[in-house]
Amino acid sequence: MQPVDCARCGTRVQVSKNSAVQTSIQWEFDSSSCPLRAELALGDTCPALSDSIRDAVLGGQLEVASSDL
Amino acid sequence: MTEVRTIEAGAPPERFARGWHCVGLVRDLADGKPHSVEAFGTKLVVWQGESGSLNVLDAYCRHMGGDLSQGTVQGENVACPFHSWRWGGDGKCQQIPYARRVPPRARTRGWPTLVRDGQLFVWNDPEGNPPPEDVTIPEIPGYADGEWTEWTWNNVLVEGSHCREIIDNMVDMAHFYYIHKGLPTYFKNVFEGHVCTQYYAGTSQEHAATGALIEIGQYEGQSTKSDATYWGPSYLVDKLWDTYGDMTIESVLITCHYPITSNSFMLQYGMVVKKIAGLDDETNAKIAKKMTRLIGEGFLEDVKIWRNKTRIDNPLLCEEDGPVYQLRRWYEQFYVDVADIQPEMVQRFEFEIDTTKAVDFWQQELVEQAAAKVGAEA
Repeated sequence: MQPVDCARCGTRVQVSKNSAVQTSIQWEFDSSSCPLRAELALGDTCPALSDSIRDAVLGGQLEVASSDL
Repeated sequence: MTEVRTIEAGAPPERFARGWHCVGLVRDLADGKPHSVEAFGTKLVVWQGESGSLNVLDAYCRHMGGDLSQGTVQGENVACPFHSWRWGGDGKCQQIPYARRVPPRARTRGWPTLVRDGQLFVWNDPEGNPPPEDVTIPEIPGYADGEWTEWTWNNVLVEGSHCREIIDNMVDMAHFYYIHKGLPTYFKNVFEGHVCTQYYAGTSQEHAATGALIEIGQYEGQSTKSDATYWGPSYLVDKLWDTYGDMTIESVLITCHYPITSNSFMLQYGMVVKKIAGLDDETNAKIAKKMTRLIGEGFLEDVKIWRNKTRIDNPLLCEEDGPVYQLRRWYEQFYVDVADIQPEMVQRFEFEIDTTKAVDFWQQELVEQAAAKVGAEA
């Protein structure tokens, strides 16, 4: 997994992607540190974090690759 | 020589999970008689006292070991069939009819209880602590107001398996195709704290076989959406929306269990359906019954797998499989002391599966199977 910092709140999460669709996100802190979390349903990925992950892929900081299975 | 993968079967945990466990419906337990529930490696007695409250104690009388669940309800208390010692819901011996006084230390194990939407829950904690306030079972909105049908409820005794097998289903996208006749098109898990959720969307295989696929994840006509959440280690609330054309049936499916031994458990499933306006209660109940029967058939297929499979601590996964290891890490929190819960067991974890390849393959397989069937009939 690779670190991604949310561009909105700075929260750092660990992310891996093995395809354009597949995403794993491991939070390292209490997710209440996310300013949007309380407004979201449990299953929703924070939209600001999703944008940051997309940008990390586009910017080449996050590689989309098969994980070590 | 090529290395061969070896299965590590491991051993089931010796303790039973900390958490609320549903033991059945109030309507089946609140009849003025003591009921026996074999759970958590022992036997429990459940009864309703005359004031209406439901109580749960260890079934074995601390006097001479009689089985309280074979006794009678006397006022608020349960009376042992052996010598009529009377036990209260708080675990204290209230009366020994033939004795001048009750020994001051005559106390047995009482189990904290919770009644929610017509179901009785028992709190198990190997450390003996009471349930924390933030660990509870949610209410179904509108249940108390009669917006839903009565519960359908079924029990399936599963022997030779630890209940971890049913938990594994939470992340097992592909088994919904091979075991439950579904065609999952969207699949995501979120674990956080003591809660674990599966988000699922799909259609039925029967429907997919007609070639109704518009694009990946989108079917015209029939579709199913499901949000299924474990509230603790054993109680799964599955909110379901089944859409047929322009009609959507909303239901809540409960799948829960309590451990009997470390190698057997009682699987229970029950359902309420949101009453459809314009239909009478009887017709609504019929819909609930039919949907439950179909789901029950699916569980029997699960049980068949469990009866024959091995325990496996090191599953070999592909990229279309869900996060089995992270799920088990989440599940582990219920088997360790509260002080030993590690951050990674409870920190938020999100995982979305890419179903593109799977849906593509399954769709084609179903259409081919349907064509072969038509060909055979012609």
